[in-house]
Amino acid sequence: MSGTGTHQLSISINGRHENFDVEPRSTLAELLREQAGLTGTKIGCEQGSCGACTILFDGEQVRSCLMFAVQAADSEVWTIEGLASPPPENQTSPTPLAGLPELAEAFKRNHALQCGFCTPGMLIAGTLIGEACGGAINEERVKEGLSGNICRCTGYQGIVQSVVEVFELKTSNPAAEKPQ
Amino acid sequence: MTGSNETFKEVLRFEDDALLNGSRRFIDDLEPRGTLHIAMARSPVAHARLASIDIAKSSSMPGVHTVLTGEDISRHSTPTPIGWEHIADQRRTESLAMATSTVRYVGHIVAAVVAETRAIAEDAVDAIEIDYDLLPAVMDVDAAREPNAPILHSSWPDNVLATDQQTSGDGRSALKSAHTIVDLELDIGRAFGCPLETRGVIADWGLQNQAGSQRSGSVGRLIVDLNSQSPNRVREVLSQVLGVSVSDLLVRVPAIGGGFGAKANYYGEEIITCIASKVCGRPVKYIEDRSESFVATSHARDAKMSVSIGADGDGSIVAFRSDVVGTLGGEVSSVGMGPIWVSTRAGTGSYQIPNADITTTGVMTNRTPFGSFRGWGSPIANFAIERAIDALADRLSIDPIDLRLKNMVRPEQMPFQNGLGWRLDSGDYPEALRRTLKSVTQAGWFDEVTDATSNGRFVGIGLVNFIEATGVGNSRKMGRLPMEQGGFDEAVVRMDSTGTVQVFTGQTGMGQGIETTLAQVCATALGANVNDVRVVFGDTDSCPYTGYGTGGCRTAPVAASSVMLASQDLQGQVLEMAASLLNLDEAELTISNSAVSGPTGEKVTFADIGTAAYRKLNRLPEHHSPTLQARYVWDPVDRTIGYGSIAVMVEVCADTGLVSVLRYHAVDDCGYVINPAIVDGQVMGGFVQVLGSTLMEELRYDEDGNPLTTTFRDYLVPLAGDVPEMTVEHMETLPPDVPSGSKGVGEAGTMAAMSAIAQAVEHALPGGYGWIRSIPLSPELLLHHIDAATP
Amino acid sequence: MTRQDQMGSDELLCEHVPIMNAVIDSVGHPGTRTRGTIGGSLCHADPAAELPALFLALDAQLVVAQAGGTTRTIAIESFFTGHFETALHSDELLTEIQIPITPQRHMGFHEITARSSDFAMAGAIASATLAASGTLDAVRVVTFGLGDRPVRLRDVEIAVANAQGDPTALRSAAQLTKDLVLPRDEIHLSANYRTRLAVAVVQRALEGALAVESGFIR
Repeated sequence: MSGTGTHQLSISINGRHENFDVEPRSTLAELLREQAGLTGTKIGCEQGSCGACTILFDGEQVRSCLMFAVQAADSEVWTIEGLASPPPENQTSPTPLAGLPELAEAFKRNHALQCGFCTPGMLIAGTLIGEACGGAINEERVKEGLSGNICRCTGYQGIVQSVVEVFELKTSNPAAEKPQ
Repeated sequence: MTGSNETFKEVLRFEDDALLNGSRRFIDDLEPRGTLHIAMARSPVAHARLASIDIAKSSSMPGVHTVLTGEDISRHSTPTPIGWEHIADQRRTESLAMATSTVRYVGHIVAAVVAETRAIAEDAVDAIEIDYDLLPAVMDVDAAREPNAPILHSSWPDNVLATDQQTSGDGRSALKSAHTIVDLELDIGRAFGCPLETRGVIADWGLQNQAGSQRSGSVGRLIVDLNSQSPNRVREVLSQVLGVSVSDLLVRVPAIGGGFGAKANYYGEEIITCIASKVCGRPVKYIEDRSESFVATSHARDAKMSVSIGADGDGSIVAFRSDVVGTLGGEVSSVGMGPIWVSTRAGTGSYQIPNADITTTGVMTNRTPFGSFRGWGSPIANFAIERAIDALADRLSIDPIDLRLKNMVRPEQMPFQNGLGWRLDSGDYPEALRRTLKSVTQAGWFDEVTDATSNGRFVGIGLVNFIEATGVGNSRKMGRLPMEQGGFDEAVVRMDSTGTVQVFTGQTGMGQGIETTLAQVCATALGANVNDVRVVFGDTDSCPYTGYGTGGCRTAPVAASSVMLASQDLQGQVLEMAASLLNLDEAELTISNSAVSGPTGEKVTFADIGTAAYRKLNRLPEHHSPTLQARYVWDPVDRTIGYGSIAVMVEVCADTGLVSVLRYHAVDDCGYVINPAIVDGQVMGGFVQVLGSTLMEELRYDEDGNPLTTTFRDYLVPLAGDVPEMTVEHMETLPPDVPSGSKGVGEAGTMAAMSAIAQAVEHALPGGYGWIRSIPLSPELLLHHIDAATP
Repeated sequence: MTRQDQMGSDELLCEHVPIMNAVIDSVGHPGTRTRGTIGGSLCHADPAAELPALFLALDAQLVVAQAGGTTRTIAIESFFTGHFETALHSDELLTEIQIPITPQRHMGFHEITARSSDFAMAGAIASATLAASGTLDAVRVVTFGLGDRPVRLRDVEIAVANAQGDPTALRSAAQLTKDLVLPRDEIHLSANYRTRLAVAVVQRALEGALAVESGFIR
C-alpha cells in the first residue's frame, strides 16, 4: 500500500455496505465525518484522550481518531446516528447496543448533557459498560468505565446516574416485581 | 383578564433530542461547497524577532492556494480593538491578528496556509522557512517589572498593561489601628476554559453572497460562521478591522460545544480566515486542533495576591487590603486585564468591611494571552477574602463559620454599597450560610468526618461564602467606565399565522439551555403552551443585538427580562385580537395553553388568532393591523448580585497527599429559578471545573517560555471518578429591579470552589486554618502536614 | 498481536499472572484497550506504562522477527533502553512474548495516579514464588513511572528474600527504594515527592503479593 493516492475501501456503516476512496492517512473519524457525512461522531483531541470520537467497531468501542480508515476495511461500524435512531425500513441487520436509546431517554430525564459534544461518545461507552456489568452495576464501575470520556459541562453526575438507572433496571431479576 | 401561571419548570430540554442522536450541527460539521482549509504557522519560541519568512517552497506545493504572512494581514486589516480598555492609561499594542516583526509567545501566529485540505495546509506550514532572532523570554512578573527587564512592546516604558485601585473608608491606613492583622501571600495557577469543542470559523467573502453591485469598496458580503459567545461584538470588530460595513457582514453561530468564556473573546484566527477568503475567493474554514488550543485559546486565573486583613479583638473586620498582580500574556486579549481588575470591585466579597484598599496590576509576560474563563476574576477575589478570613479565624481562635456570620452583610442592610463600586442589591447572605450548615449537618457530614477520623483517615469539611455579579450591566454606566459596549438586550417575539411563536434573542446557546429557558419565560408571560415556542439565536441578520453577548451571567436577568417584556406586549396584542374575534371585553378573557377563553366556554386558539392576523384580516375590525410581533429592549438598572454558600467534604490520602472531594452542597440564591434541572446543572458543572483548577489542572511553562502542558495527558481535567456527590439547594430572593425576577447563575459554581476545598483540607489536617496559600494544592505540602500529625 | 482487552479472558494467563485483570484495568481506557496490543505497549515503551513493568517482573523473553526471515530473542531486561526507546531495530517486529511458567507465583500491583484514572505517577509490581520448602524464591520488584524505563530493584529483591515474610524486615526492604530510584522533577511534581511515592507503591505492591493468606506475614 503506497503512501500517496487513494485506496478503495469497503465498509459497513450503520448497517449499510459502502465503498469509499480514501487517502492512506485519513483517519476513520475523518472518513465518517467528511466522506460518509456522519458528523455525529465528534473530534475533541485527535489523540485518543477525550472519547468524543467513540464509535462501535466490530462490536467494541473504539476511538475513531486513532484508527486509519484503511484499517476499517470490511469491518462493521456503527455511529451514533445508526445507534440512537429507529432503524430505516430497509435495514436488514438488527441495530446493536439495544440499550442505547433507553440510555438516551435517561440522559434527558437526568440532565446528563449540556452542550452535547461528549454525548455520542458517552452514550456508546455508557451502554457498553452498562451491558458489561451485568447484574453488578454500581456507580464505581460506571465511573471506571467512563474514565476515558471527558465532559467539561455537566460534572458527570447525571451521566453516571443514568447508566446505573437504566442498566440496574435491565439486569434486575425479572421474576421479582418492581415496587410501584 | 387573568394570565396563566404555568411556569413549565419540569419541561425537559428542547436541545436534547438533536444532540442525543448526533444530528445537531457544530462548526466543524458545516462545510459549504468549495471550502478551502487554513492552517496556522505558530511560533515555536516565546520571544523573538521575525528575521525572515520564506514561503516559496510552501506556496508551490500542490493543493496550496495561498500563504499569508504578517505583511498580507497588515494590508488587509487594522489593529484589533480591545473590548475592555476601561482602566485609565491602559496601554495599547496596536498588534494585528498575526505577528509582523516580533513574536511574543509560543503559539503566536506567524503565517497561514490555505489549501484544498487541512492535511495539505499543515504539510505546507511545515515547509515555511522562518528565521527567528531569539530575545530573552520574560516569564516572571517580578522580573518583568524590574528596571532593566526586556520590554515586550517597545513603545511602552515597561511591561505593565494597566493598574487600578479602589479604596473605601481610610483604605489600607485603617489596618494600622486594627487590633489584629494577618498578612498572606497567595498564588493562583494558570488554567483555561478548555471546552471539549475547540474554536472554529468558516469565512465566506464574495460577491456571490449579495445580489447586485459592490458598494463603497467592499468586495461583497462577508458571511462568518463562528462558534462565538458574542456574535454582535465579533461582527463589529470584524467590520472595524477589515473595513467592511456592518450591514455587509453576517455572523451565524451554530451549536457550540461549551464556551466558558473561552469563546467569548475574539481572536486573530477569525480575522485571518476572513482575509484568506477574500484573497482566495472561496469559503475558508479554520478548526483549532486540540494541541493548538493550549497555546491559542485565552488563558486565565493566574495571579499573585498580597493580602492583609485587620480586625478588632472580637473579630469585627475593620480593614482589608489586597494587591493583585495578574500574569498576562505577550499580547492583549479582547478583555484586557478585566478579570484581574474585578478584584477592585469584588474584593470584600459577602462581607461588610468599612475600610478596603484593592490594587490590581496586569503584567505582560511571554505567555499565551490572558482572557475570560467562567467566573472571570471573581474566583480569585473570593480566594483572597475567604482565605484571609480563615487565617484571621485561626489567629483569633474564633470558629471560621462564626467569624463569617459576624461579618457578613445582613439582609436589613440591602441594598448595600460595598464601598468598592458594587451595590449588593438583595438577599440574605447569613441565611444561606446557616442553611448550608444545617443541610450538611442533617445529612450526617460531621458524623461521617468523626467516624473517618477515628479510623485514621484525614477527612474534613469546608464552608465558605460567595457573591456573583450577574446581569452585566447598565449601558450608560458601561459607556462611562469607559467601555465600547453596552449591556442591554433586545428581544423580538413573533407569532406566526399558525399561532406558534418564535423568540429571537441575541444570546447564544452553548449548553446552558437557552432554547428551553427562554421558551419557558415567553410561554409563561404570553400564555402559550411551551411546546409552541421556538427560540432562535445565532444569526445577526434575524436576531436582535445584545450589548454584551453571552457572558457575565446575563441570560436570566437581562435576556429573560427582555423576552418577558416583549412577550407581555405580544400578549396584549393577542388579547386585543381575541376580544374582537370573541366579541367580548378583554377583562373577561383568560389566556393559557395557547388559547384565549371567555367566561362561558368561548374560545379561540392562537392558531385561530394567527390566521386572522396574517391571512383572514376580514375577521378583524379595521383598527387591527396585520401581523403579531413585539420587540423590547431591556437595559439593566445595574448588575444584580447572586450569592450563596457552599460546603465540601474532602479526604487527603496519607500516602500521597492527594485530595479527593467526597461531597459538595451548595445553597445558591439566583432569585426566581426558571428551570431547576438546568440551574443545578450550571452550579455543579461550574464547581467541577474549578475543582479541576484547584486539584489537578494547571497550564505550566518552563523558564524559556516553552509550554509544558499541551495535551490532555498533561492538562488534567476532572474525569467521572474525580467528582463528588453533589447537591444544590435554592433560596429565591427576587431582585428588586429585574423584571424577570432572576439573577444569573452560570458562574455560581466556580466562585467558591478553591476557598472551600482549601478550608476543608485544613480541617482534615493539623495546622489550623489559613496555611494553604497556593492553587493548585501541593500534595507535598499536605504530606508535610500529615507527617507533623504522625508521630 | 493480542489486544489488551483479550488478556483478562485468557485462563492460562490469569492463572499464572494473578494480577492480570488489575493491571489491564489500569492500562489506558476501555476505549483504547479494544485496539491497543500487549506487544504495542512494550514497543512503545512509555515509562509510565504498566505492561512493560509487568513483563519485566515476569522475566519475559521477546521473540523478534527480522527482515530477511531470521529471528532473535531479546531478554526483557535488555529491551527497554530509554525514554520511549527499545532495543528493537527499525526493520524488526516483535512477534511473540514468552514467559516462563512458574508454579505458585504471588504478585502484587499498586500505582498512584493524579486523577481517578491516569498515566501513573508511580507504580510497582512485586512477584515471588513459594518453593516447596516454604521459602521465598524468584523475588521480583519492579517500579515504573519514576524514571525513563521500568526498573528491577535488585537490592529490594534480595532484602525481601532475606526477610522471609517478617513484616518489619519487609518494610525496611521497601524503604531501600529511596536510594534506588532516580526520578527527575516532572511538570507537576518534584523528584523528592516522587521518591516518596516510590517507597509507598513498593510497600503496597509487596503487601499485595505477600498477603496473609499466602502465609508469609506472621
